[in-house]
Amino acid sequence: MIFEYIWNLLIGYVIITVEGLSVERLINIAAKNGIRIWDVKRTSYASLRAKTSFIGYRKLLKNTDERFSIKISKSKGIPGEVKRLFLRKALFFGFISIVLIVSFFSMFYWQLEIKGAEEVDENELLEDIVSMGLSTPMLKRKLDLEKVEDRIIIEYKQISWANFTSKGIKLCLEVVETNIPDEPKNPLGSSDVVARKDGYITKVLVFEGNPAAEEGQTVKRGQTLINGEFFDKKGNFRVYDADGMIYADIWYMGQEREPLYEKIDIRTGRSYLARYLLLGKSAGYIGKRNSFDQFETEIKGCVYLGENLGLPIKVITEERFETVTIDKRKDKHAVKRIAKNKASEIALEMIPDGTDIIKEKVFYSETEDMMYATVFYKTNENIAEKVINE
Amino acid sequence: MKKKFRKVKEQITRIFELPAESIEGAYRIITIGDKSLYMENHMAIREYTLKKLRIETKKNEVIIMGNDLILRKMGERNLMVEGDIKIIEFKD
Repeated sequence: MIFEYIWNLLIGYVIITVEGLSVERLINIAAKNGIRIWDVKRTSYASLRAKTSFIGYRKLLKNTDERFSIKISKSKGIPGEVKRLFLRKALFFGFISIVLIVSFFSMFYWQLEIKGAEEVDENELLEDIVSMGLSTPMLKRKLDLEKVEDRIIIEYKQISWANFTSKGIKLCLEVVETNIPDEPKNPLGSSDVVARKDGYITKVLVFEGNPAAEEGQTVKRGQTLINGEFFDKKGNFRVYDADGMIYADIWYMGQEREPLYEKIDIRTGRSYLARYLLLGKSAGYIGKRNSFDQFETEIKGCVYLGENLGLPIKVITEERFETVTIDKRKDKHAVKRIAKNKASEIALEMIPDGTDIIKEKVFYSETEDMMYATVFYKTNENIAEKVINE
Repeated sequence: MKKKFRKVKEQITRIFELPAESIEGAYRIITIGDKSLYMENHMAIREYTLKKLRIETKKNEVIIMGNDLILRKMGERNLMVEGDIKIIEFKD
């Protein structure tokens, strides 16, 4: 039903009023001739109302005679609306005008936007783009944007990529900037690459210059690895701003010691009770005084005299145990561990942050009373350092 | 002769369970409640008013009586009536 309704709206239909006697004849004529009619309703004795398509209406007129009067009372559907629209000339021409105006204005770019420019001055870039022939408003079709992109990349060293994108009436230029390295101080631009640490070279990558070291070579700090000034095979003197990456194995060492014995106090077994009077901070002995050279005490009792009167007088009883100090040997493994940790801390402080340790070696040595630990850590680092030639 | 032939046709239709409307030209009426009626294989409209609809078929006449009867669809062989249907009568 709904599809039929939509279809009728799309193709359009008319509501007709038929007047005449025996209007049933008209219905039968319509049915016999394949004229589609629907919503047939008797409105009076000699008239009825029905709906049919435009074509159906014309066919009905053709197939019926003067006995029936067929008139259109209403037309519905899209064709009818379009026809009515054409009759409303001002609305029709106004609509067409708006479409034409919008189409005309959308043929141009009215705005130019730059994105991604941080180091480069946007206003300067904009002026240059205008001088290259891109000034708003500009006709979309006539533009050769690729040429302008190439010119921007050539003229601006800081820009490594430039691309124009279209967003309706806005032309957007996206740029990507690059970091330009500092110019060398030497007017000729000559510098060497030297080792910043001692090491055993594992990889040599030369970008500019003549290599002076090779893989498998042990180098010392300050030793030249890549030459910036040299004579080539033809005997010509070459000057370069030497650059490269030299990877070398570097060993870091840390050394520490830890005593094997520790001093501890033990009780001899002898003890005595000592009593003394405590007056504020002063003490006075009652009975036997201290006779041990070395002792430890345990308080056995404390009596307050004059507690009710609030006087700071106390009688303290304490047991004193004689002690002697002896050297006790510590657990060897624990001593080794402590010495190693201390040595390791020293070595790790020297290693730059973020460097991976590829090997570890630990050596122990001991004397009568001391354990020594030496820790070695091996890393692989880029030891190249640029030095400008004066 | 014609009557005999018709009887033979009816018997064949019944035995082989063939659709009667295609073989004998019988009409089919489908009603949905008392609000709408769909009919196939009619011949012509004899009379149509808001209260009465007389439809001619091959065999007989079908009279539909009610209120506010509207012919929703009208085709060469089928039609649809909507309204307040009260009586459906079959008249020879």
